Amino acid sequence: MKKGILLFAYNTEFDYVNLAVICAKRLKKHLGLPITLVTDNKKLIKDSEFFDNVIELEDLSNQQKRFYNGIDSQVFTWKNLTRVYSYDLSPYDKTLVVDVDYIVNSDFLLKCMDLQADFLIFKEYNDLAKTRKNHQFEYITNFGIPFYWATVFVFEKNKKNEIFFNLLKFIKENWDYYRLIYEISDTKFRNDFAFSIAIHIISGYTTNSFYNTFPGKIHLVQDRDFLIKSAENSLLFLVEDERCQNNYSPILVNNLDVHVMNKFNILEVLS
Amino acid sequence: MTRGHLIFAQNSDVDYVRQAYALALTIKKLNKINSVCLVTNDLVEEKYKPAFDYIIDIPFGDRSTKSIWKIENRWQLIYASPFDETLVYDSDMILLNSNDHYWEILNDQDIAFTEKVKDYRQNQIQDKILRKCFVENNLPNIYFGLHYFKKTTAAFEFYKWLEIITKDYKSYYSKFTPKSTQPFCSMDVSSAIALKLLDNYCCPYNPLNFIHMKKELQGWNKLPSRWHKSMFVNYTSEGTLYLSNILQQGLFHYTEDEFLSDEIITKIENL
Repeated sequence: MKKGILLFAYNTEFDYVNLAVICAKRLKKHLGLPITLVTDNKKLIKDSEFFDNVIELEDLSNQQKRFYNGIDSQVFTWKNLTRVYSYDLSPYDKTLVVDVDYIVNSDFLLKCMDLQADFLIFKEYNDLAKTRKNHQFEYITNFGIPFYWATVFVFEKNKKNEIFFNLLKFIKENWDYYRLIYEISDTKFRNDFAFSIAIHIISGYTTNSFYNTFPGKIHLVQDRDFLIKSAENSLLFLVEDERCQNNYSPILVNNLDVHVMNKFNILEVLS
Repeated sequence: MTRGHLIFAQNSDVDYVRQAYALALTIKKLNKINSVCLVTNDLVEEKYKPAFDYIIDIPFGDRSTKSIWKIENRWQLIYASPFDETLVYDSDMILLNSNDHYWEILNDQDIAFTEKVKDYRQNQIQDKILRKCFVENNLPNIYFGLHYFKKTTAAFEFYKWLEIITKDYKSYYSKFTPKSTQPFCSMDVSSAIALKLLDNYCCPYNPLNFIHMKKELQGWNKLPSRWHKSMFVNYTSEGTLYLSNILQQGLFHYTEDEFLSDEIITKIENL
């Protein structure tokens, strides 16, 4: 079975392709699997040695989203519409899809690729700040269905997953309908929501999903937090205290993969 | 050995007979064992009567003339029931799937109470806020809203205790629930005290459960004033209920009378 990794990176006002290079470098080091990058302009890749394959595909999205870098923020274009084509694009039999802001520090995902599971996704999360309540990561809305993370997932090519990804594409194409049905007020298409909705539908509209989840939780820091330092397999963060904004605590993690939502910070520290 | 379903309904500012009618229709539609008995001292409208196989007066008269919730007569259920084995329901419920399987599972029991309730997302409710009285006084965590009894000596003994406790609930509550004492008579607390006094209640394979829609139990981040007005409620013409697009299964305890709109009643009548 041919295994590999699929990354998506579209430069906007923000240099996502450079972020993909940082991400790929760490994936090569810890997982050693072939990597395919999906992007809209090959020429923007300055350091292509970490990519075994590049697929050019346009993303015509013009969504605008506010991105935070600690207390500062900027509104940028957000191109996220091609991830639902992962099944069609992947050249591998078993594929790991990783967000380029997911910082790999261990071989955890490699071990997950060997599990007897044809689909894996994170449902539960661990906010490294510990003190924060994040209802938005538990359910997609106050009254809504459980939240699944499209940040990292594994899928095998088979009929069941083909149906799943076809449904995802359908949800994307009919986003206004689905977001209304699922009471999502934000008009922007979001992969986490689309995956959560697809899992919910395929699970018979119940919350008892038959999709496998990764062992453990997705570890994360939020976009108001800061990555301060990186050394070997350790990361040092400053995380904001929910009860006292602008009050930060240091957190050091070793050999732990972390979803770092402050993308600006990744470029600053890990470039 | 006769088996049947019993609903106790005494109108106050709420038309509980109307609720009982809707529940009876769903029981009749979904179950093979579907005899339904209504116990009431109210005049029952002609249009409601076909839903019930028995309409029986409260055997020993109304002892709740000063009460709003009219629960003081519930100890009379065992004397009212025309069945050897009875499933008792609160009236503000509708059945969404057959519960015919309960009978064989509960056949060895004299009496059985719901011990586990779920929210609409199918999470088991860990109610430590509204059930402080149970937790702090080490009472069995039971719900009177759905329970089973067989007309045996042991079951009659339970209901005799329930009569005694209900009639003198202030004394019993102060003695058996000194912590977080409820100031009003509750069938859940009274039944739990009765079971504690009998000291031999055990139901190892208890299938009884229901979806409890008390809004405080749903794990919501923001509490709505009325759940049925705040979320997407879809009761289909096939009798399937979705809340925020989540399929509801089993027995649904809606708790808010306004949920049972004329439109839903019409759909239930046409099932």
